[in-house]
Amino acid sequence: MSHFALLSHRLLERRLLGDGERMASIIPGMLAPLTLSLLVFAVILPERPLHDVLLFLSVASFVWSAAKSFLESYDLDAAALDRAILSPLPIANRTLAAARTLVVAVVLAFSTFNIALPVSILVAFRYGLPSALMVLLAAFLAALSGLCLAQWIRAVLERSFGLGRVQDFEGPLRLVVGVALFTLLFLSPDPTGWLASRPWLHAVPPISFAFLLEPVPGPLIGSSAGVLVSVGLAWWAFRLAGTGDESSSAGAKATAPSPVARLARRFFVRPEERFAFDFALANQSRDRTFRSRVYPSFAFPFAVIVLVAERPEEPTLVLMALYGATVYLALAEIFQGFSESSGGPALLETLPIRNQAAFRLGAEKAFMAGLVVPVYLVLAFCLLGLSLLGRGFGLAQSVGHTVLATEFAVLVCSLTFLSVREQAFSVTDQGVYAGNLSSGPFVAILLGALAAVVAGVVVESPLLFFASAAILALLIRGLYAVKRRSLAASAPPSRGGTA
Amino acid sequence: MTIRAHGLIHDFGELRALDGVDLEVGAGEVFGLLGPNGAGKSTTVKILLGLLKPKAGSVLVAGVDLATDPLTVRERIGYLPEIISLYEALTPEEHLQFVARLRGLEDAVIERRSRALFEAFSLTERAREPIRNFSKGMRQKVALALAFIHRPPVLILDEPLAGLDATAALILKDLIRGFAERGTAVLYCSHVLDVVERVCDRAMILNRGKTVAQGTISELRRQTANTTLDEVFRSVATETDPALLARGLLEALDS
Repeated sequence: MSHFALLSHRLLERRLLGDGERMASIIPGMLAPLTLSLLVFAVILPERPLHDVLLFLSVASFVWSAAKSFLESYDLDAAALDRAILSPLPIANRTLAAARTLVVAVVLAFSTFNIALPVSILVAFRYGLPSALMVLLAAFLAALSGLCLAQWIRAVLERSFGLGRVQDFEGPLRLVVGVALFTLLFLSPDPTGWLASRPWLHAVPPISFAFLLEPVPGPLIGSSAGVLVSVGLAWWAFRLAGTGDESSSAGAKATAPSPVARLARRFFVRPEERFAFDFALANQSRDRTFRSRVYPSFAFPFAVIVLVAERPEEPTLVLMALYGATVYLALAEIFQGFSESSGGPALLETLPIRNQAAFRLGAEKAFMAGLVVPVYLVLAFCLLGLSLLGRGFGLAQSVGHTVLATEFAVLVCSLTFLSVREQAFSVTDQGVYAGNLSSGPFVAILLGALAAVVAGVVVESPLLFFASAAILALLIRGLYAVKRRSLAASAPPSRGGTA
Repeated sequence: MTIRAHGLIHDFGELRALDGVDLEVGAGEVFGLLGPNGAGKSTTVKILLGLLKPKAGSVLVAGVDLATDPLTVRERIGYLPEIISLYEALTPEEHLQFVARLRGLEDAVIERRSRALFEAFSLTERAREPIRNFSKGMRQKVALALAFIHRPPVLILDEPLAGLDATAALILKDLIRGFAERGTAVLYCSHVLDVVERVCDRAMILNRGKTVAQGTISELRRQTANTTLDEVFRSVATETDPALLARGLLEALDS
């Protein structure tokens, strides 16, 4: 059997099977694109022409494929065991890269079909079988182009910056892709109409894949060229493979905590909680797995900015998005329990943690101070900026809504933490979280909608606004007092851990 | 005795990993725990740390009963695992702060001791760099610093010299003797017999979960009529002649 076949088989087996618990973690990942595609088709594009469906699928498949294949390659690389075993073997780097790409392509095929297959079935009922096949073809070509392009970009970046440094971009990259997808979803303008006045765009991949049936030759030529160039780029990527410097991430220093975190540490974190606060704050700013899982959740709040800028005439939609964003933040906190280091949780196991309550609350506050509050502060600045430009709610309402939304987010996240069983960064297998992801969102969506309605009313009156802000602050304070008491009751009192 | 374990029995399914092991390490003593792979050394250490509950037997560490107060036992132990356990994203400085605060040390003490440990192990320059960039030896040094920072009365060191450069290894051997002179009980697990011979006062050899030899190094030599610990080990813990096995393997690889 050739090296390529042996490697592909080994990597595929490891990626798809892993161990029993890993399979459980794959299921939510498969549900996400499926839900997205059905949501888009059923809610956003129900009355749109077939072209809009094709266009959305082509662009979404391209973006999804590029981002997912870029990140899947990291997941394969992150399997340190494979790297340690495979690196010393006499295998050409390009063979390893080709095997890795094949594995990523197989994994990608699953997610692409997750997006395209349900939509194509619905299209078959509405527009007929040829249209459904067209949907599948457009999604496939777009996904293939995205995959090849991503592999090339990755190879170039690795060669330029080294693997470690490129891996540090994973979290921010996921955030950008998330914002792009949410923006696409929210805005979903009349794409066919918009493109009608720009016919040259019909020939540019991935848009061209949606216009393959047009009688003009542009899209066909553009699509063919796009696929050929993509495959050529993938070939180039194989040639570049393994030429980067893996050690170039050495020298990266730890950064100081943000001003928000320092203020929170001083005024809101008790001395006995500070060891956990510092520990979680440092880990969550640098743990690659945490960053890659949690940063995309902030895409939703940031998509609010686009919404405010583009749809100032629909404040209800903006408010729903602003308060609904807590859904994603609350979901993200589940990943605080999971660590990229296999050794970290083992270290934690041997330490005498007497004050479990302090550990839990300190880490929870690090999540709020390090991520939730800064995200809403950035949102506040953006909303204020837009107000100054004459868009959005106006200055007073922008301030009012960001204050209420921040408090609401902290309250919902704090409530959600009640369901998290693990201490921060104490588990290595994310499979254990699969069950946690199923129930929370529905409650949070309902809460978000309710909060949006209430906030829309109270922010109109200064008295009601200040009363609401005070009530939310009291609720947060009360919740922490209750948590502290219940956690302390379930663990022995502290005999150390003073900061 | 600072560590006193009596009648330890532990099973992994059908397999009896420990079968009535007794272990005693006094204050100021460096005690070697030896044995071939699968002999029960790691199981013994995990039981002493409270990570495994024995099927039978009792453990007292620094006068504290492990069964009734496992957290206090952990507070009194400095542990270096064979497989280094660290958070990849944290720096050595953050690790030491986190662990030392958890162990109840004041910030000023942490600062002073961290500086000394980093200096001794040549970590000062890289104390603010995430550990994911570190080599095996550097990680070993950080893990040693974590085991030493709270000056515990009991040290459990599993292959402490693994990956260390020659200078750090020399420093560590002196440190271990120094800790012992100051009253620390050191349980030293290793496969490197000549180091155990030089560093340890007494040793115990486990095989298939049972104690097959125990005593001072000279007693062990006398009991088995051997001149080195290497030969003692060969006579009590190996079923087949290693030299014969090696010769057979070489012939098989040549064929």
